[in-house]
Amino acid sequence: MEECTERSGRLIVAVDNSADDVALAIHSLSDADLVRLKALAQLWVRGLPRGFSWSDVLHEAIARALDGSRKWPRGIPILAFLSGVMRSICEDQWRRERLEHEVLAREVDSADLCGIGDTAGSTTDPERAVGAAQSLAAINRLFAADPDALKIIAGLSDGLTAAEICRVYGMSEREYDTTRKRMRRALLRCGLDWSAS
Amino acid sequence: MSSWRPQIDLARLLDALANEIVTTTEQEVRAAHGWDERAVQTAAKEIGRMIFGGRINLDDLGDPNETIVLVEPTMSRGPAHKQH
Repeated sequence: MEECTERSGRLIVAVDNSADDVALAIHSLSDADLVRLKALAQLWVRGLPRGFSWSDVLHEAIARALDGSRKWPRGIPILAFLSGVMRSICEDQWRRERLEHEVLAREVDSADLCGIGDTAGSTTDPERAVGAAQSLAAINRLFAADPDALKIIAGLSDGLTAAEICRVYGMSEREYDTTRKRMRRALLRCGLDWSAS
Repeated sequence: MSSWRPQIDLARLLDALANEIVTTTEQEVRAAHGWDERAVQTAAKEIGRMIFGGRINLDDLGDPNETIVLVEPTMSRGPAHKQH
């Protein structure tokens, strides 16, 4: 698909990669890329309702990329693109869960049992909150032996920048960078699959 | 009553950690596996087999022009298989 945007009088054309490009890129992934892809899937499955595996989210991401339902913009690395697809899958899945709850609540309400339909919206968010709290706990457990990593985790969860994390937690830039390296290795080595928690 | 919304924290954290993984280098992947090339290859083969559904041996994927048969989507068919 092509998108045309006019900016400063010049026509800018952004072209998405085709499904064939996606297949070729996946085909060409190196061993290190595949390891990173698994680590990404193990990470993103933490954003899904419990019961899904990292292979589920990865299968789905690849399927969406190949069937064209998710376009791969030119200039975006394939891993970053697939990571973004997995991210949107998490959102879609929670949306689906919420809809299922709402349909169920409406059916109960229409049967005039106890009128719980009014609370349909509020019944799903607590479930997601509990799941998120469990995922945060699992991520914290992965880094439990590394106090500096836990500081960075806390800072990232709060939406802080690297500079802010260093300032808030009294870390030097070097400490921050070396800790990040340890975290990256842990994510690549251990992953965050549900089976590990 | 607490106003903590863990899903917001988790979303921020997953975004940040995903970015960390995306930006890791090949060297870091090897370092994470103790510089053991075989360990990296084994891990890669596992994911490769998963992606290609066991229908294609990754060792045979020498020709980038050949047709790739990938597994079908799993999450869009039927209800989620919960494991509570």
